[in-house]
Amino acid sequence: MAALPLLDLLLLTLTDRLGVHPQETLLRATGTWSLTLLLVTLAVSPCCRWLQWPALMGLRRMLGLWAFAYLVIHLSGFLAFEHDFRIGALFKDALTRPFVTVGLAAFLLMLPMALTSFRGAQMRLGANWKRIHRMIYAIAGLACLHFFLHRAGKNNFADPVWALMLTLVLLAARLRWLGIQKWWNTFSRN
Amino acid sequence: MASSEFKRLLRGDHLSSMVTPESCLSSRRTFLQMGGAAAGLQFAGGLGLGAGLVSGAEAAIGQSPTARPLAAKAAAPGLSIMDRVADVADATGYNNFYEFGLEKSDPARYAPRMLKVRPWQVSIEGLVKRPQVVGIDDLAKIAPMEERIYRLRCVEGWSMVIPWIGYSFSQLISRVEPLGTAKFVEFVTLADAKQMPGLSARVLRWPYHEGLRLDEAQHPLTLLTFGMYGHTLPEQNGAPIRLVVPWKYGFKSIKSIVAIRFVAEQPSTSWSQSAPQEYGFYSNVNPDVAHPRWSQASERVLGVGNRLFAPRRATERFNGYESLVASLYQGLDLKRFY
Repeated sequence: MAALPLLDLLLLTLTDRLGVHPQETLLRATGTWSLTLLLVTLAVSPCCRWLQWPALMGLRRMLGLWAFAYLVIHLSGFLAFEHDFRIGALFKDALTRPFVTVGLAAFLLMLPMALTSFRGAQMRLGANWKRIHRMIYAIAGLACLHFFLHRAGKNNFADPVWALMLTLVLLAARLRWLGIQKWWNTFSRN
Repeated sequence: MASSEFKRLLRGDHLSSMVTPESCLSSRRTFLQMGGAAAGLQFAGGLGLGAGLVSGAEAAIGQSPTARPLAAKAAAPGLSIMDRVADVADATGYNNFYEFGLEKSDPARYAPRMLKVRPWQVSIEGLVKRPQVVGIDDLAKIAPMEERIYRLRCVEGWSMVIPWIGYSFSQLISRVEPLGTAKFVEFVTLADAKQMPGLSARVLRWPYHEGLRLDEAQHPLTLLTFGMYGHTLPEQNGAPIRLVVPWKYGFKSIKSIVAIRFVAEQPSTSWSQSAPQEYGFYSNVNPDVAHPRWSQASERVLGVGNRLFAPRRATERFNGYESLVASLYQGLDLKRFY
């Protein structure tokens, strides 16, 4: 299901129906889908608890990897369209524009997550695996900031505000869960 | 028709065909023939080119219910560029006109059915000997219409080559006779929430307002524009009257003008009010002054050829009009006064 937007974009690209400025359309669509899937990934574990449906957990890795896949396309597109595939120019750009810095940072943080996503790595890394994968909170924050900076020109913040609120709700859901658990533990010990 | 006039028109046709995509050619020829007809009428009966607002059976452009063929003569040499003109569907379908929404497709979606371009009046006011409120059709008759092919460079890093129709704004200036104290010209766009759904967004301070120094406004390149692609302006492109200042970023070329005010002090402008660190009063196209959030060194050329592999071109100082306008800015630090 996560592949559908990608297939749609591919079809539109092949038939030249991406509008007057296809590069812009592609970059915006892949960016939006990457963030959306990231938030869906973050929603998996709270949903698991609320719905008491542990099987959902099995989807999380795949969803996260799809979010990363869209991010890879998003970044490759940016590199191709804006910098003619010159990696040096991309890093130089990242030094001068916070918008690019933040986006690139999110990618660099997500890269180790994707590389260590398979079960073998999970076993081998043990507690460190968890540390690496906790970075998803930082990544979600950076992604929202990137989205805000993107819209800063037109002061058109409705969508980034939605994304940020969702992120905060999903974070709050976790904190609350941890809080409840702690309270439950103390309670049961007494 | 005078034979010299005929030859000039023929030359114009020849030039246009060099820069016009195949798809536009037939309509361009028709329009030039109409131009010839109108010019003929002018010689015969002194009707003036304003009568060139011919209502014809020709298909409108940009899904505009009001766009009609508009006759014009070719610009004087040097005032048009020879690059390939953007596809008319792209030029009328990809617009920044926030009064109709923030997406590039919003103006084409809403403006043609919401913006009423008749009756339309422009108030010319402030420090002039002859302040007046002029109806759009009278305004169109003040000087002969010319077709000018300009590159429009958007501050967002893209450009389109567009054949505009209008006359030098200086023609209007000389009619209204600015006082010696007038140093700047302020322009104001219509702001009517009933016609403009985008006004509910507080992106900018409405009405949209722009400004030029008087000498910039008097420059022959500064075009008071009534049409494009051989037609009167489609609503989404700023009908019925807009400004085109080709050496400045596109947002300086204000659309759907209702007031032109001659003033002594530098007027505030919508974008520099909204984000002063990003947009200055001058906003001359300058590849050496980066926008705080992106480079201005190059631009993507829209509306020609394969879209996905649209070429980027190096942005030129003053958008390629340096030889014509640089003298306006002698001694001005263009990095400070961006």
